Amino acid sequence: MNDERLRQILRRGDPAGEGGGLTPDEARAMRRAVLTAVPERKRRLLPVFALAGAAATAALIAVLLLRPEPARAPIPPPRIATAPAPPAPPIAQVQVQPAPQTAQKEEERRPVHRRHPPHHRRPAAPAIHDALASLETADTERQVQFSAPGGTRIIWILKSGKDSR
Amino acid sequence: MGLSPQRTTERLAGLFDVHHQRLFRLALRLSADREEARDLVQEAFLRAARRPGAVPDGAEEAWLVRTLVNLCRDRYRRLGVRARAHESLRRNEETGHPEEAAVIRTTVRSALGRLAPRRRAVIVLHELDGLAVREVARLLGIGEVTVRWHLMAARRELARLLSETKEDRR
Repeated sequence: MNDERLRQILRRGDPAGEGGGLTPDEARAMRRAVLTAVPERKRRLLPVFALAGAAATAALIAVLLLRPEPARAPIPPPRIATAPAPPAPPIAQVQVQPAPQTAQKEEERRPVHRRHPPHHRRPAAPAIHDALASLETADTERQVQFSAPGGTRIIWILKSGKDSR
Repeated sequence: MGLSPQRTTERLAGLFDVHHQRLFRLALRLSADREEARDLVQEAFLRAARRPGAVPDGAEEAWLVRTLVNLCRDRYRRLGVRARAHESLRRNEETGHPEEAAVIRTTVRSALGRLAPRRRAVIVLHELDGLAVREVARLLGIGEVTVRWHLMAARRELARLLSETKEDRR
């Protein structure tokens, strides 16, 4: 059976061929049923949705208003050590003694046989340098120690002199 | 779509007036009998009424056709339309219409009833409604290649079924 023959048979036996179509009564009844479906559904469901929404909103507001305030952990104040400053190093107690004049004169008198010029001399050891510096302003010195939240320890050395470290 | 109920009703009324006869003819070709076709058309329009926003502007006809075909598929799966088509055929034969046209109509309806709903829709829209392949594809929301494939398979299947029926009658 070729396609053309099949098409002919289908058209001769078309199920919609004999009096196809809705009668006016059928069409009118169906139209009424379809058109009344829209507002009925809205009338039925709209108040339900509105009531449900209002109830949910009221419940949410009530929960927000009546919820107990959660206990807040107090913010720890910054830790500042209040320990008294440690006693000044013993070397700081040493009174500055003016260099003896005799030694200076003796050095001046010494012949110029220096193996190294004075500026090539090795720098003084840090301990000595610190000691000398503290000798200059050893009269009043205070320390403030902080302990930062990260664990870093900060020490301020306050001196009544010119500078501070 | 945020249309007011009044506008929705007007739009739906327009859709119904324009498309209900064509949709009913299609339903007659896709279903086993007239009552089923009427139910299918009404259900398609009721779906449009319940979800007016789902019906796209400018593509209402395609939406209605697709909905109708989907309803046929649901019914086909749920109720076993094949069995109903055979029953319908047997009943018509028993009532005994000697006219050749009635016999052919019964035979064709029976053969169409053996096809899967989408394939049946494709062959009906193309061969009986006279729509081009592109238009069938647009209405059913499938590709043109798929339409051609369904057409080829449906022709082969219908030719076999109609030949079998002719053999049985001899």
